[in-house]
Amino acid sequence: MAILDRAVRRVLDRMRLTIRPGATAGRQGGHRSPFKAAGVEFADHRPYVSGDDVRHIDWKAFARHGHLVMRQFEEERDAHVHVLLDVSGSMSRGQPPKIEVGARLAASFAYVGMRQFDRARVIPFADEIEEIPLAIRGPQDLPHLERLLSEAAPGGPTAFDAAVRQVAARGVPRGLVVVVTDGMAPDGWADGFRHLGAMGHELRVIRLSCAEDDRPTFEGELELQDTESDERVRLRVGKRLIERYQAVVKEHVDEVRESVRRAGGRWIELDVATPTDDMLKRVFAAPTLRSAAR
Amino acid sequence: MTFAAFGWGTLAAIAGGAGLTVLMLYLLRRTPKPQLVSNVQFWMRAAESSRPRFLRASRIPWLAFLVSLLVALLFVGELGDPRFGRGVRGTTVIVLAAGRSMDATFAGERRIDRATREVRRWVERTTAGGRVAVVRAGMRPETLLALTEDPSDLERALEGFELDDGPADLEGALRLADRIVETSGDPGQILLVADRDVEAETTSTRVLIPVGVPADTLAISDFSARRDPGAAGEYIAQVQLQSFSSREGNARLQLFDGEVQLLDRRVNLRAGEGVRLDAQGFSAERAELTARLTEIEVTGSEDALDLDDVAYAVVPALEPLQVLLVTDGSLWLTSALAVHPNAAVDVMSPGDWEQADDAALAAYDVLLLDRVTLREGIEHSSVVLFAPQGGQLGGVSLAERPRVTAFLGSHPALEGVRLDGVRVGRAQRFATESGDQVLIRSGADAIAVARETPGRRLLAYGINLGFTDLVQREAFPLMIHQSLRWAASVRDEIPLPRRLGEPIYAAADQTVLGPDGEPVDATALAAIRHQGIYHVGERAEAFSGTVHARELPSGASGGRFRNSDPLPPLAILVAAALMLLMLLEWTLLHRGRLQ
Repeated sequence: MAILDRAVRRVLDRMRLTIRPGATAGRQGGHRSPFKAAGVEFADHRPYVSGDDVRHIDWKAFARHGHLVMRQFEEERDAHVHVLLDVSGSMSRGQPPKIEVGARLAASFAYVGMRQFDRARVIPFADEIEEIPLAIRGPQDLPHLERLLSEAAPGGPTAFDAAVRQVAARGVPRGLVVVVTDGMAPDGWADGFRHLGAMGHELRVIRLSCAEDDRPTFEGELELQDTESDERVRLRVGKRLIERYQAVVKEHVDEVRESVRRAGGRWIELDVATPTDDMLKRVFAAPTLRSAAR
Repeated sequence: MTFAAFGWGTLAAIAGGAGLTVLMLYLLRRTPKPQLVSNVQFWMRAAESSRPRFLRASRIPWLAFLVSLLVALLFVGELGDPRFGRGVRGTTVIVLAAGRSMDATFAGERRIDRATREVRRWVERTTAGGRVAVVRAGMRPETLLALTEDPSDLERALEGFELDDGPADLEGALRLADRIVETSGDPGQILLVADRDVEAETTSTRVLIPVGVPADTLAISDFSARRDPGAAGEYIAQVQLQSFSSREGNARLQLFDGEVQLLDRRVNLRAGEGVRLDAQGFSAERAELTARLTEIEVTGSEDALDLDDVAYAVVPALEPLQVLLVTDGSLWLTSALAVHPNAAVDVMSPGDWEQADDAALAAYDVLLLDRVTLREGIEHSSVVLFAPQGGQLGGVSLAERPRVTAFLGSHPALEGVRLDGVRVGRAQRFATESGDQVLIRSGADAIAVARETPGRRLLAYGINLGFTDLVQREAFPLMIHQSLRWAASVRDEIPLPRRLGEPIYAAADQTVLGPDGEPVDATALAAIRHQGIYHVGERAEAFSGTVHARELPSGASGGRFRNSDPLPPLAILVAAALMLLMLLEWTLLHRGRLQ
């Protein structure tokens, strides 16, 4: 697989995707769930009632207290992992391009999810979603994923809230939603994240930034061309305008991050120039996951 | 050829150069460099929030702004002041004053010379698309040059430009110019080049180029001559001088009859003073008089206008009078008739008078009968009688030593004659009829009557010339002279000088000679423009501009334009609008409203 080379997969093999119990699915899997059933992890005791499986009676407790109590175990279930990959025009910017880094991250989530027997799917979006791909359940599905990501050329405007509404309309099951985007659209983020949170998804937002967006160095009389809408604006760009632009972008990113937090999600900001290993460690890091689960 | 002061070749070179400049400016224009960004909305927000306060922003390229402003101001100046730069477009009708005041001089230059120079300068500024017409504003406005684009036409018209000796009709000239602009079909303007402005309504924009400066002049404001009613055959000349100056001045007044000098006097005039001078005692059958002011001195200044320093008048010749004197040898009457300058006298004895009939008497204008009866059957139309013995006058009685108690001095026969204290030894008393005018009365007796019937005048003096001292008085020849003229129905002409602009009437076969002795063109007879003495056969007519003598209009010395239109010229409005648009564009551009 070209997107995930051997070195990356070696790193990913050590990674584990931890999902909040409330966001798990219904099949047997590797994630803790709030459901009590046959499992290996002891959860609690409860009084025996007629008809219970006598194999789960805690005889040591009966010998100590003279009451029949049943041992209960957490049921481990699988999870749905939905990776929403921003393929709008602005994702073509950066060195390397944001779309390339974003595709690698999306594939990484799908790969790790596949290894954990989760049902992972990558959903490209810009201003609309053409189709919801099938989930990856095994290595046999990786070529399909690679073809999907390689065909996802950046273009068009970003309309995140519209994309989320389309996802919801198509009955995507509850799970972990990983949004990989650069956030370079002024509107639509807060509504989209609020909608995802309301649907019970665990939300994880990875914002990809690049120097061209955050620290532009061009100056002079310029005709700025929008990579998403092709709109053109003539401006005289100087240091003062650049400083103001950076403040505007920072203010916008802060607003988006705040909307993610309000939706119970976790915000991860990555520069596209970050080495892949460091990038993967950050997006799969457990402490951050625990923090996001709060 | 065009009115731009360039030939077609130069114009083509200028046009080519302009086109090349435009092309270079286009190629060297500042084109913005394209730059891809993720989303221009963030840049727009940044530009919106960081836009500078107008005119205080360091980002405004001040140099470019000032250059643009300077160009705009030059544009306003270019369009607003036609004396500055080039670019006169559309139809221009030049009204060039040709009145007498345009002949005034200052520092050796005539106003008309300055005016024609201004006209040429204006025409040089006219663009290739402009057309020019010239209206000559003389006493009668006329189109001197029809609309043309050829500057050589204007040069030809100005070369033969003449002034009138009368005032300019600027109002009529402006109306004519307005009609020319209206009928041209193009937007146009009227350029008035004159030493004064007038209030005249014109639909076209009017611009005044004033010429002339305040000037002083001493003028002959009136000049006339007429026969002296108190002296047979003599005439009186009256000259009125007027100072149109705020300074004292003096001049030498000379009066000529042809080449003969009649009067030479130095006259002092205070500021604004008018002086009237009478000169009389000149005896001539006819006279062609010229009054001339020379050697004019104005304190601290100079006489600016020569035209008002000369005036003309004529004294026509007396009509010849054929007189038949019937007397037995009165030397008093013979002597009195000899004074009459134009009387041809035949003397007849009373014996021959008895044989005379109307056929023989028809050759005479008037009959003068001394102590002879005007018998029945003589129907001559003009008869003067002294001491008649009955006849057609009816009952006559003799009066001894009558006293002249009243005389009718207002009667033409006694004009200028006073009979106070005349002693009469013997006279006839007349029985008056209805319609008789009693000329001399002695108490209730009429001793002189004038009887006027249709086609006939009888004048009867009852005074016997052999018994009175009237014949010895100086009034006697005048009384004879006036009596003969009244009886013969001869009236003295008082030939007032003609006004400039009036016509001269002449028969088709008559040649009219002008003041210079050259025949006058028939077309010029309808309105005489130049003062002087004109001759129509034997008749002389004097034209003087004295009635137009007045203070010289001052014009203006600066030569700046003054527009009589209450609104600014359209060009200024357009230029101001363009400048406002430019400022608006700058404002919006640098406030981020324009991209």
